[in-house]
Formats: sequence, C-alpha cells, structure tokens
Amino acid sequence: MEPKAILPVSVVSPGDVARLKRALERHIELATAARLKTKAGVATETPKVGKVLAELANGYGCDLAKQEGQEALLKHLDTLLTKAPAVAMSFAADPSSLFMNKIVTWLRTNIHPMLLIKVGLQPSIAAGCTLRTTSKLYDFSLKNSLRDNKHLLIEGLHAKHEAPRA
Amino acid sequence: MFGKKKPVKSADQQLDEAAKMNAEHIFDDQFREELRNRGRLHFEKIIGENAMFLQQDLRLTTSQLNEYMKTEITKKLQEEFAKYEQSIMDAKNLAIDSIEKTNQVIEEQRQALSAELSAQLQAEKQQMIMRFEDDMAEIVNHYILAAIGNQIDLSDQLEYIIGELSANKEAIAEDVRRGA
Repeated sequence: MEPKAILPVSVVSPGDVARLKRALERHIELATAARLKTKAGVATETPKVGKVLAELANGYGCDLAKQEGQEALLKHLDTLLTKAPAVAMSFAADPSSLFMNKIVTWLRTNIHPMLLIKVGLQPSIAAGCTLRTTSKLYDFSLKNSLRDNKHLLIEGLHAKHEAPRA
Repeated sequence: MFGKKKPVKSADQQLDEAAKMNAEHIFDDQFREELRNRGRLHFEKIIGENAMFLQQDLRLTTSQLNEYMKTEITKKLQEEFAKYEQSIMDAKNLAIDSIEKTNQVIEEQRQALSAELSAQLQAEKQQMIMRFEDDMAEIVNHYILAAIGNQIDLSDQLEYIIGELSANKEAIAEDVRRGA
C-alpha cells in the first residue's frame, strides 16, 4: 500500500525537491560507503540525514537507515519532480519563510497535498500576489485591484463634476 | 334718159336694188364709224361696270378671305399657344416635381449624414473621454502603486491573499487537477 505522503512545508518548489533528491543521492552514496567500510572492518559513522530530508522520509514512511527506504524515497522524489502539480506565485517583495509556510500549508490543505510552488518576485504589482497554473493566471495584486476598480474613480470624478450643476 | 331703153326689171328686183341702195346710203362709213364708236363705248362701259363689280367682289372676297385667314390663323395660333403653354406648364410641373424630389432626397441625405456625423462625433467624443479616463486611471493607479507600493508589508497581506485564494479555491483546484 502506498504510504500517505506528507510534504514538509519547507519543501516549497521543484527546486527544493531537486535539492532534496541530490541530498538523498549524496546520503545514499555516503551510506553505501559506510556499509562497505563497516564490512571491511573499518569503524565509520553513519551519515547524518538533514532535517528536511528526515521529515520527508518520515512523511513517506521510509526508513533512511535501510537501503530499501532510501531507494523508495528516491523514487518518490523522482515522481514528485515529474508528476507533482506546480503553480507559480509572484509577490511584490521576497516572502519570509513563515509567510511561505502559511501559504504552502493553505494551498496543500485546500488545493492539492503535493502542490509545489515556484516563488517569483514582481515588484510592479505593489501588493498582493499573482498565481499562475498551467492554464490560467489569477491576479490578486493591488495593481489589478486598482485596475478593476478604476470605474469607482471615474464615477467619483463624474459625481464631483456633476455636483456643482445640481 | 329715154334714148336707150333699158330692160324692164321685176318689182322684187327693184325693191332689192332700192333697199340695197338705201342701205348703202344709210349704213355708210360715217354711220358705221359712229356705230362702231357707240358699240365701243357701250362695250367699254359694260367692261368698266363688270370690272367694278369684279373689283368689288374681289375686294369683298379678299376681305372675307383675310378675315377667314385671320380667324383661322388666330385660332390655330391660340391652339398652338395653348398647347405650347400646356407643354411649358407640364415641363414646369415636371421640373418642379423633380426639383422637389431632389430637394427631398438631398434633405434626407443631409439629415442622415448629419445624424451619422453626429453619432460619429458622439462616439469619438465618448471614445476620447474613455481613453482619457482610462489613461487618467492608469496614471492615478501608477501614482498610488509608486507611492504606497513599498510601504505595505507582505505579512500584512497574508489575510488578503488567503482570502483571494479561498474565493478562487475551486477554480484553482480544478486547474491544478487538469494540469497535473
């Protein structure tokens, strides 16, 4: 049975997944070397697993101490890289980790549990954000809001212009 | 006179000879000339009278003919003038009708053109106002973005962003499912 996958909130983008994959591959290499040295009678330390990688392995129910667990997680990461849905979000300023954690938590809770987010910077939107899926752009920016509500400005001007006549 | 006896003539012969001698004696040249003159005068008189009658008749006929010609020509001329006048009137009416129709068409075209021009001007005016309003709104937006864009902290926007994401949750989820 496929273990219930839980992506850590610190794994945000496909770049993060690629980094984790490289870290896992490095860990597998180190673990293999350690096993061989142990077999040869050389005392070696078991390589340490990074926090995020451990969290991810835990989420997938993979035991990184075992070769099977490592290979299973590597396979999961490959699947994530190729098949996980991704969206691109742009903000006016570089978002903090805490901010992104809340956004990612909300998206994975409400949209898709494996959703990856490519974060971008777009100062021209001033505030808010834009979200681009594979087929559509959602513009929640202040710039767009002002553009959508420009009729209020024009109506206000018209009201101001007509007021003296009355 | 009685020396030589002449043959005896009959009474008739004597009478004829006497008549002949008297006739020759009565109708002598002078008498004939007079008769001829009288005849000539009488003939001339008759000729003159006839000529006068003929002249009178001719004058009368000429006068009647003139009157008739005058009447006929006048009548004919009046008829022709009436026809001519009628033709002129018809042509005039036709021309007036034509001018009125042309005027009507011109007036209709003028009104249509005026309406079209007015509509185009109105549309152009509306277009210019809309462009101006759009441009003005863009300028105001740009000013607002430039003025306060850097002043808004991203963490303060979290609630707004989550709210917008929630409002579009179904659509985003659908897009992600389709794209996955």
